[in-house]
Amino acid sequence: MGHTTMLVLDPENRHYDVAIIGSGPAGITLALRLARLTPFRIGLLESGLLEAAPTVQALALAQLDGDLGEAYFPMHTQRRFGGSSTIWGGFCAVLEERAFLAGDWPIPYTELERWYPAAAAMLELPDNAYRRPHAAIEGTRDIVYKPFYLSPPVRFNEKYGEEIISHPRIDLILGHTCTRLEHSGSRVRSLLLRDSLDMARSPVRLTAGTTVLACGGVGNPRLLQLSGIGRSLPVGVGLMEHPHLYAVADMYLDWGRMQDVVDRQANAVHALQLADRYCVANDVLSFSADFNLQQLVSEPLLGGRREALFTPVSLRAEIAPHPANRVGDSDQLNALGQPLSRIEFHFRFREQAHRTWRLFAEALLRSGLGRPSTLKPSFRLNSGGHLMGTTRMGSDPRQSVVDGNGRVHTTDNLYVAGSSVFPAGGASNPTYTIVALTLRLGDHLATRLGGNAYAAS
Amino acid sequence: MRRRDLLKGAGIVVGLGLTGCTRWVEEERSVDAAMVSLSEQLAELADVRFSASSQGLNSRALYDGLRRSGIISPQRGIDPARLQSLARKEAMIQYQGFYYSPSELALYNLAYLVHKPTLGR
Repeated sequence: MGHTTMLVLDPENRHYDVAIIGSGPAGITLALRLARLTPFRIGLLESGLLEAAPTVQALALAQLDGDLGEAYFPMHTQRRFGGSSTIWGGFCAVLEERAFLAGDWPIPYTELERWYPAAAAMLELPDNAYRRPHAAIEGTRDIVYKPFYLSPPVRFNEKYGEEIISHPRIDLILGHTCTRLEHSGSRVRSLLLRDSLDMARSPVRLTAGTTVLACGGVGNPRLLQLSGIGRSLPVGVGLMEHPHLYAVADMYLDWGRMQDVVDRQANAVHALQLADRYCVANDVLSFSADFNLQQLVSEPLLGGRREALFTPVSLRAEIAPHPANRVGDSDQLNALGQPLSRIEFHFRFREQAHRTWRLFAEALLRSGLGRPSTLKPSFRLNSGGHLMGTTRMGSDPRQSVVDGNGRVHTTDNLYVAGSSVFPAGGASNPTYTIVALTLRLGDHLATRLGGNAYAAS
Repeated sequence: MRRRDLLKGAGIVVGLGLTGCTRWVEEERSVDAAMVSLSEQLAELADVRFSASSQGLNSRALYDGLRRSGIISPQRGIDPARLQSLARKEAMIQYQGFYYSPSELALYNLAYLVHKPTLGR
């Protein structure tokens, strides 16, 4: 390939300015950002290999208690270079402002918003993904049009693999599972690693000035728990997912009012959403009602017969964090002799779904924009594979695990990246926001660790 | 679009002299061209799906009620803005699996009753 491969086979006693645990979208984004901004030496650690390996994948298995099916983790968790980007569908939308308006996040929305353009570039999204993330519809302030733009989808291992592997200051350490962060006082001192395939081998250690966890909504809290870090913090508490209800209702939409709003040129899934201020005013969480453009019919709407879309509706919803939804220890051990993750999760969504749909239906009907059906009398909840909220961001250590920059409250040189820091999950697929927040974290670390000389423009 | 053309045609038929339950429409019509418009508008809205909801209802009473509430008038036809304004205050009702405002459903019931004889021809 004409370049020096920075794959590290034996990481023992190596030292890095920044060690990043996990090579999914967050880990790769952060490694590249820091490598471009700073002269830091970066260690990017991955439990898996370049391709999926069943033995390593088995380390991610979890004991499930609740509404997540047995196939959940095999389906959504990937321990390999590229992480979940190797299997994701590419749905991207900016996070709703609602939770920021309601004060659930400790940072202003603009702090997130300014990173969406750079995140769009990484994910190969059109500019409209951030320039026109939603659009007003004539005659209503309660409902907005919100497209979910589709990344190709970018596989981070394929798109960024060569840059990572050939970069002179990034070491990619594959096949090593970090089992413990060794710490004293308020600092992480070293990382204990086990060989993911040859588990009889003795553990090895490496050290880092700063460590960033980027190993997912379950992996991040689990590593804190297994290391005994943040015992006073709500680590693992408040796991969130996005309930998906497919074809759970129908609606007619006045095409005359929609046709100039819908972005028909884009590779996107079209949706309507309750406006953020309407959500806050009515104390309701975010949700998206997806529709398609396939069927035009003639329908009586608002006292006239109009050309209307007739479409099934699929809902993608937000659920509130609940203390009973959590990640913790199982009484079973994995092949490394560590307790498996035990995940208690109940969607607690049915009542909310009815209330939210009714509010949406009222807004739709009263605007004259369309006619909603009733929600189907019984429906099946599907998950999105979106694990969020288990190391939530906040300013109060009693209610959160990391601060507004992603730093663990109790530990000066330990950060968390990924959707586990989301204190509210919105109804948008999380990858776009994960990348945006990670770019922001990279900028913060460059500034904090290297002084203003590394601050991004 | 073909269906809409058919319904427009039906509206003209009504305007040309249907009798029975539509006679009062004709009585008020006089030579007012706008009244033809109301008849056409109702014809466009007429739909057999409202046969169940209109069962047992009196078209004259529906007409008077809708006129009193400003949703229809012989001069201006159907007023969508008024319908929308009322919908904001009314509780939604369910009919055949879809949500309607009561005023809107009353309008469609009227349309069905007035133009029932022409539907399906």
